[in-house]
Amino acid sequence: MIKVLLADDHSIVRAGLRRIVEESGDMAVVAEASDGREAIRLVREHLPDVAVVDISMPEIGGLEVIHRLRPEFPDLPILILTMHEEQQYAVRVIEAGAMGYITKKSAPEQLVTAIRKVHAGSRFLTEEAAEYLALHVAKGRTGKSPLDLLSARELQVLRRLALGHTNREIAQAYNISIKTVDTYRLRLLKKLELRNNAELSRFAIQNRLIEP
Amino acid sequence: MRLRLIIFVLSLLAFMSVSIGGYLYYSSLRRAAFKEAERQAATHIELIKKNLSSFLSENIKPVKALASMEEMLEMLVRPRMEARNRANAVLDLFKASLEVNVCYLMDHEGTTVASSNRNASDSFVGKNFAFRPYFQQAIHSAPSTYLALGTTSHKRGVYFSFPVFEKDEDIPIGLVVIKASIDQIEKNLSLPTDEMILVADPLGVIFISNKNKWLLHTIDKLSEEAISNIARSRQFGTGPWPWTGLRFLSDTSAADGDGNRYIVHRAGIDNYPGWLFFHLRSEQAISKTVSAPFTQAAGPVVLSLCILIGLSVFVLYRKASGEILQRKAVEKALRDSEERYRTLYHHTPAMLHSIDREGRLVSVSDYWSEVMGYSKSEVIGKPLVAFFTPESREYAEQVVFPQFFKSGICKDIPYRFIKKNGEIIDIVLSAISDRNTDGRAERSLAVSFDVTDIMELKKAQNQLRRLSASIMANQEKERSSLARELHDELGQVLTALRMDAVWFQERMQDTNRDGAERAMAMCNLIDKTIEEVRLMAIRLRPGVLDHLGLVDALEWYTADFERRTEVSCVFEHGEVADTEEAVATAAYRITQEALTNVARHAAAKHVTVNLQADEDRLRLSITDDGTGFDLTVLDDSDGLGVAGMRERASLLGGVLDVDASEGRGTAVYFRVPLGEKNGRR
Repeated sequence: MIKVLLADDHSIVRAGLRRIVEESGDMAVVAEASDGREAIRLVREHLPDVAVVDISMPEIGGLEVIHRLRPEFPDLPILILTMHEEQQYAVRVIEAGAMGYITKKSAPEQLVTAIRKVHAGSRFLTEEAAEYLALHVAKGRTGKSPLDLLSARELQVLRRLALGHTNREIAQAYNISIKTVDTYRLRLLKKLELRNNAELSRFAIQNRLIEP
Repeated sequence: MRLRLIIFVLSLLAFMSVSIGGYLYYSSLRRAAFKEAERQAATHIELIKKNLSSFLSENIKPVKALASMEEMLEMLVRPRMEARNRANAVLDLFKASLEVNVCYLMDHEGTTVASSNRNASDSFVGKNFAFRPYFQQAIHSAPSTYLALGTTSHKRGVYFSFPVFEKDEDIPIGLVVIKASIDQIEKNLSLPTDEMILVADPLGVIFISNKNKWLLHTIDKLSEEAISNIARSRQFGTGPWPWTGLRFLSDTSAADGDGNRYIVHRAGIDNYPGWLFFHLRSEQAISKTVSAPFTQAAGPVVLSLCILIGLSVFVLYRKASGEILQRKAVEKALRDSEERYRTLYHHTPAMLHSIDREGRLVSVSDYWSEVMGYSKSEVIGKPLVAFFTPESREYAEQVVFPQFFKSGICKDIPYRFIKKNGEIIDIVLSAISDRNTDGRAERSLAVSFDVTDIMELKKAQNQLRRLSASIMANQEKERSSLARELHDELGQVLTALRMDAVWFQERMQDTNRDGAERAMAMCNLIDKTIEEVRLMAIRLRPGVLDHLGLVDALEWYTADFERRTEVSCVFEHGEVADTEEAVATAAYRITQEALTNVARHAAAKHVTVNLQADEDRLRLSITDDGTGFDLTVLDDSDGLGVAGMRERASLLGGVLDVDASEGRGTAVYFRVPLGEKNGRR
């Protein structure tokens, strides 16, 4: 049985989450906290296998909880739960030391998988978050990368082109037209002064946008 | 006018001094000329005198020779026909060779016995001249010379007599006489007309002269007795011997009856004891002879000199007059300008005042006293600071005055004046200083503007601004809380609902397909609602901005903008610390507004958002490659929300610039100072 701690200031959400966790069969919610401070206390008390923590809670938020628990329980996998769809949160959460990140909306479908994954010692991220994180890491924070020339969408298209995705696949992934994808491709070639997709791939590898 | 008079007098004096100098020079020349003339005259007179003396004595020796002739004695001793003829022949011979008037022989009684003029009508023969002194002297053995008017001929003559003796006898038995004409002598003494020679007997009767009308006149006015003496002597005819009218002013000068002046020399004549020789020379003539050459030579020189001096005086006078006129014009212009300045100073509807180095009021304009309510006499001489509020007074004395008297200028100094009625007005004062020749500030000219209204307006404006800021802050706060409510509360409930819906769907998947489908539809509806709520919340205020900060918020927003509009949007940023909420909000809202404009109006393909921060400033720019717009239209119709952006910028002490021109894109720049709170991350 995987011992799970749930921390969320909304009781109905907490109740929903508990049901999802418990219905998995091999997990048990050992503690429920309604704020960050309580979460930290309960972790110390119950020593759960996985902590599922809401990012936005009164007084002490999810990020602060990570900061406080990390030194004390370096092996405790923390899965961050959030209402926010923006990928920017994912980067912060992962940088802070969380093992996984899911939105509350996708909880019914992904929570159990995510808990198992982080419990197993792997990271859990949605595909979008993973992509965003990859792009973000490649760019770095310094503002000195050639990638800085590119917009967010251009980076996404470049990465996928470099990974060998077709225009159609890319269009489907971002819910845009194939024509638009091609426009982005041409724009990329022009901006980066490259001639074809092969050179785009080489550029992406050089800038650590994808693994070789 | 006075200066003109002075110059006129000066010119006159100059002219006079030149004239006097000329005159003195002239008179000294003249004196020298007179002296020279006198010297010449002395020589001349000596010569004439000698001539005269020699003329008057020339027959002394011949008469002696005549007396010793045998024929004379023979005639006197034996007066026969033969002797008479011989005597007459000798007398004729003497007369002819001596060129005299007449030669004659007298017996011891004074009767003429033989004469060279025996055949003339006025023959002397038989006539007795015993009364004549020359007879009386000669008969007493003394040869004599004598001047007299002939009793027979009525001609003046020089009589030379010599006694005729018998052999070895002492008593003369007769005498010979040679009479020479004075006319002849006068003819020989050729004299210039301006000189006069007078020869007078001891009584003063003029006997010889080149001035005929004075002949037989007396030099001095004589008494009747003297006149009768002359008559008795029968020497000079019958008279009446009038006075010449000549007066002697001194030894050397005299004047005649007509007022002509003469220089006089007198001397005796050899062989004529008591007779006097007078030489008179007209002063006028002398001066004429002296000055004539002088005036001839010097006249034109002096005249041209005078003309020259006169001309130059005239020219100088004109020049001086011109100068004076010019100066007057300048003075007038100066006076006018001063007057204008004074009028300007006093009547300009502005508060003007001047203070001296001690800070005392020297003058104030009419408007100044009108505004302040004091009359001029109440304020002149008082220290300016006496009309200040205590704070203004301190500020003026500590800061403004020292600086002003050093630099000579001050601008827009805010002061507060106290009016006479106690009312306080806010003014802004600017002043310049008048400097003396040493460059020291002497006094000031200050202009003050009553800005009480402006200050109040400013206060109102500030209030308005604070209000606007607080409205904006409240708006943000409200939006933030509303967004949170929507997102967190409603969102959470919807999320919980969704979980249940999914649970239902999963439960009914195998048992109740319709129920499962319904649950699925419900789930989709909830998803849609959640998305809508999320969008609503984000539109109000994105949580990212509050939770993750400006950089993440802009990164998200630009990516979202690109996704929505398909305009390539690059977000560049340096390291930016956590900025204070107001700055972050402003930067976010400005970006939002600018990008909205880009999407709506620019037709741009690319837009770059750049965010940089250094220690004390945050710089944000939004640059597109779109159509741009005409900036001049911007201020009139603020459809682009630029005024709003500006307001946000200025509320934080920042600046917002829009750089745009048609066809060359638009750039929005926002710069804002960072408070101490905003250290680098």
